[in-house]
Amino acid sequence: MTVTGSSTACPSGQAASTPGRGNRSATRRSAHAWVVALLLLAAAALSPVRPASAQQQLDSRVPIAFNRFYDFDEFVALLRRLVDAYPELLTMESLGKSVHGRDIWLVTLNNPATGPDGAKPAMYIDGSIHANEVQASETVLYSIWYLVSAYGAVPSITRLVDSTAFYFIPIVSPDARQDWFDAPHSPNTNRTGLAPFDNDGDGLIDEDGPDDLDGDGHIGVMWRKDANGTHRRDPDDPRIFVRVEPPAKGDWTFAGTEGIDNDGDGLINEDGPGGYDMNRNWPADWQPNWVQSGAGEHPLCYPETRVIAEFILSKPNIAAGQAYHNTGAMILRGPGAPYRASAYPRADLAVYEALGRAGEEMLPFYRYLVTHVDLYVVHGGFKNWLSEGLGIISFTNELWTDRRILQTGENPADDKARFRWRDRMLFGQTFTDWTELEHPDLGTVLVGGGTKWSSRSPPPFMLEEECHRNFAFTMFHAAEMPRLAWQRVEATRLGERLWQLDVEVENSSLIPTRTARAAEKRIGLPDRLTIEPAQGGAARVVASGALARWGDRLMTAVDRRPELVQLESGVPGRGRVTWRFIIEGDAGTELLLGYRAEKAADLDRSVTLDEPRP
Amino acid sequence: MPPLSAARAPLAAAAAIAPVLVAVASSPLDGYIDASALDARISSLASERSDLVELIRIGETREGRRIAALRLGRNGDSARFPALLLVSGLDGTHLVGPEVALRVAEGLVRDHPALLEDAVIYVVPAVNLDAIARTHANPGAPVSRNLRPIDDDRDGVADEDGPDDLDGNGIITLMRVRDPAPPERATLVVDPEEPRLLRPADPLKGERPIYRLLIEGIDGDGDGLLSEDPIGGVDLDRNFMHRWPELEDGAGPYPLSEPESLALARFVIDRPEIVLGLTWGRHDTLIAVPDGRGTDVNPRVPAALDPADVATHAALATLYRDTTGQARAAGADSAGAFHAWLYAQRGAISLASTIWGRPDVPAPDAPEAQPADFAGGPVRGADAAQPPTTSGEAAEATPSAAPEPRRRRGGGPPPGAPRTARPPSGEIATGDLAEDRAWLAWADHAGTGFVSWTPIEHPTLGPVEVGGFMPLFRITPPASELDALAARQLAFVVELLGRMPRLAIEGPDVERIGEGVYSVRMTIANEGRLPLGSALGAREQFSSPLVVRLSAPAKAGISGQRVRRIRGLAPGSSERLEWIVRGTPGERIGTIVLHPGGEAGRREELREVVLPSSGSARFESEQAR
Repeated sequence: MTVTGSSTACPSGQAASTPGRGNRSATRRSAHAWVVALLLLAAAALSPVRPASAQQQLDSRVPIAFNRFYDFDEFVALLRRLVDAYPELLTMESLGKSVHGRDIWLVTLNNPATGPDGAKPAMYIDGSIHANEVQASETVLYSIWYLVSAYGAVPSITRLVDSTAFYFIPIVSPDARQDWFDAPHSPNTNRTGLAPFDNDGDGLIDEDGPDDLDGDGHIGVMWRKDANGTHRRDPDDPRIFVRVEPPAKGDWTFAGTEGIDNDGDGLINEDGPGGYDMNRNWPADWQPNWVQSGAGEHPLCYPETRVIAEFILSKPNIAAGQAYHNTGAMILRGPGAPYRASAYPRADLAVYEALGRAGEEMLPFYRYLVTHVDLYVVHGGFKNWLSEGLGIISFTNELWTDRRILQTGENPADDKARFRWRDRMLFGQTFTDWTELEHPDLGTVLVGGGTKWSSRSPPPFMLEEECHRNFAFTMFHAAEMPRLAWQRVEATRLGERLWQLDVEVENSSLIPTRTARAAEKRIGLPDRLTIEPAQGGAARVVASGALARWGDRLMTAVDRRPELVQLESGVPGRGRVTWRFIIEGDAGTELLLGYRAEKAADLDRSVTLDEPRP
Repeated sequence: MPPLSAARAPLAAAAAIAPVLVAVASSPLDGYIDASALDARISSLASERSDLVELIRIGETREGRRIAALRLGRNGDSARFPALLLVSGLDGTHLVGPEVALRVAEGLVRDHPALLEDAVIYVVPAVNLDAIARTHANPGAPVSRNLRPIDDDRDGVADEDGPDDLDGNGIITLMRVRDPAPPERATLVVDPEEPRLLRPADPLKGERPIYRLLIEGIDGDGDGLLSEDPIGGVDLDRNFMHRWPELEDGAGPYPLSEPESLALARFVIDRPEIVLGLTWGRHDTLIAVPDGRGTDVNPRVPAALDPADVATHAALATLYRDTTGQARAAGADSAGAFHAWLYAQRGAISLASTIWGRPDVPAPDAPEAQPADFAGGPVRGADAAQPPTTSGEAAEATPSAAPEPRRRRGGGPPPGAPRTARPPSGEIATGDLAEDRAWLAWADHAGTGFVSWTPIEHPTLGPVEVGGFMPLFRITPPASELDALAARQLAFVVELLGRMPRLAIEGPDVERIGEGVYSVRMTIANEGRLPLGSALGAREQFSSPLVVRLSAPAKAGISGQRVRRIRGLAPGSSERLEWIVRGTPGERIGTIVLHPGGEAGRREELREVVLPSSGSARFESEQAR
């Protein structure tokens, strides 16, 4: 844990995990109290007399508890406090408004002392495009918090921050996140945003969503009483339903998620709020709703997706992407459909592979997977757009797995095992016991089951580890964005006024300045290697060309503009570009060399036409 | 089929005028109205006939021009479903489209007010207003795409090196360079049959390439490339979502990335009552009918048409050819096209017309007044005997052979250059040679359209010759023909209106079948001659349905789905709906019929009857009573 005294300052940590209808206002009040406590703590932390910490944890100007979750308003308040406390590194701006008018916040982390954000390779990181995948946002918050807190204290983080820009959008779907905390939900809703949508094509909009019949603040499931039932209640633990094998008959049959037939069309819960999937709304292999359910009427048709896409298009320095989701402990890359495989050329796959395998080491039980092979077919997915449409090496991490909860490393074998964990580690929380009700459409039903916290998200006490490990993986990814340096630069005299100048630019990172996808599809601008005489000097580049290796006798000359070379393939990962200029000029002439890549910091240096020193 | 009374008279008149053009025609747009005049006529039509015409501003272009749509139909009439959509002016060089769209709208109001009593027609005459304005301002260098700055040569600067008028004739044509200096390479020889044309050299016949063909221009930005980064833009008719040509030239950064295409798409999405569309532009589905073969990369998605929709489109294509007499059309690949989206994702029957194709040159002794002489071949049946060389989807396979200027911008007169491997100096590929020869013959006949090769001294290439087909020539009929062409399109639209799906909703009939038990029956028939939207949209359930809901309390239902959705109803067919409900005599029960429409156009119709104590009762509408 990170924050001195946070466990006492955060009495609502557990309360927040069961915010039922009855205690919601109480939760609110305690949340407010908690924020006040935070303010006091922060004031203490900023006071001039501060005891030197003998602890390993970071000493942050903004203590934040990562053993709890934050609703939208709480979350934005924390972002603002971070930005206010670290003005030298953080800025926040609203990219636009959600369907219901909430801000879509962008937090930029950049050290202006080392250059503007646009001049550095940048990583784009977001969370909660599916608002029910709640811990995705806390993972982003943790990342911001950790980076600013560690800056100046942890050398490798300081180096990373000084050479990198980060663009964070912690909450892509703000309306649905607030609604998730405020309203009854299951772990599986709101995957959608909250723009109205007629899911069942009956001309009525959002008219039949789930209903919290037992009033526990959650959307559970229903079992209807049935003389030909498929299940009976376990005599040892009546919370559990056990399948009966025919010809035996049970007493209960599963009846779906909690709700009634609000519009009287014979179907239950068929047209709830929203009803679409913003992670099928991106312009890479986008397919219409009739092919890809949830796609929306056209790519980027939602205010949330459109402003984010426009932002990303305005930042060609973005060289890495991560969009956090839950669940299943996966490090996912595209493509989303088999026919898009060619969008991942071999050179790019090697990068994905290297990063993905490293992630498997850093993240217990996580597997590096390909979406359409290992998960399901997705058209119009976000990370696929980054990878295929923009040539950015990008992953989606699917946070959390039930394999974490028992020490077997396996998912709980059955409900009994799940309840053992729940009873012993969570003291029975995340489950609402069954209530018998008369259902208007189904007769006698039992309503209850897992709460919205019962799966997909880690229990509060495990949240911080989840955040940290994913943050660490994503920083590993960020650190592999292209970093260029001049290596050897050597002038050799060929004649009285004729020179050969050999230049080597090296990329110490794994990600090339131009991915193979970008080069193949001519996405963005090619890299440029330029040479010109320094002010007042005179020299002419007669020819220039690539060298297969340093010292090669022959070059492959370009056929135009030898002084302004376009390099479509850029500098490969952990590799170099070796170039030769043939120059006419007087000895002692100073030349300026430049290397420009959209996804790497600019390189500039001067060189004098002179024999190299031995 | 009614006779082409509307079309005939102006047709003959225009034909008589056609030869006069030989003498004039300094600009192919002489007599065309520009963007602001077009808007003025649209506005005055709406203000003069507010009883039949409503002007809707659907959005703004990049430069702030307001895009207009017209809703034709008796105002206040609730019969909005099903509706017809007419669209043109997506391409800034297809100027015959807006001219025709305007005339068709005016003609419907003027000559066919009776048709507008119970129909709704939406007309969007011009979408790409910025490019249209530019093309009018300088017809010698027309702009086909919109004005989004695009850095074509990826040097960090957008739109900095367009073509230049080197021979001072005010027209951007081509340059032919004899024995170009390396690294340029000659690939072409003079066509032995027609010395003004070039064709690829055939090395197997021992031919030595002599010429290279380039766009008229200089290296404006000193980067060693000629005319490599002209003005604009995104091709609005490649910016829609069906088979969007992702990452290809002119497709835009994402579908509907442009204010113009987004405005049009939103206009259509907000009007689910549209079941039939006709788009005038550079695409064609009417001379060469798309087949039902082939899919997109996604195997569920038809490349052009679902097999079940081919017959409908083919029948309308026959009707079109019979009505308009058009026999040739240089189609374009429909990837990302508006009309293709209207079909594949909105569930409409969607047609595309180029309006005008290459005319036949009359034989020297032929009488002058054959209508076919100028408007594109014989009026009837000639299409079968003389299929177009490149049209429709066939153009996809060999884009470089497509004869119409469509992928080049700015001065883009030349036939579509191969896109994926554009050589450093923007070499222009030759088009279909037979088509080039035929167009040249027409240019000679018309006395305009081709600029003879004239030697000039080029600043970097040395001596070159400037000449070739004039921009717009192959896509722009003389203004004197516009009335006749529009009359033919109007005749086709009138035919379409006569075939629109027409819903006959009968019932509910309620019959007592037992004590407190009633059957409720309804019939919904399509008495029109076209289906209620596409078969694809019906099968995949994405077209907007007519919804029928039982109005009885939920507990009253005994049998039958309470909500029924009617889509794609074939002409002459009907759907029978039946429910069994419980009720007591005197109680009102029945159905609610929901007609598709946007917020404004949606109509809910309550059709209830009083349950009889015996026998049956039938709902009768207000009008019927």
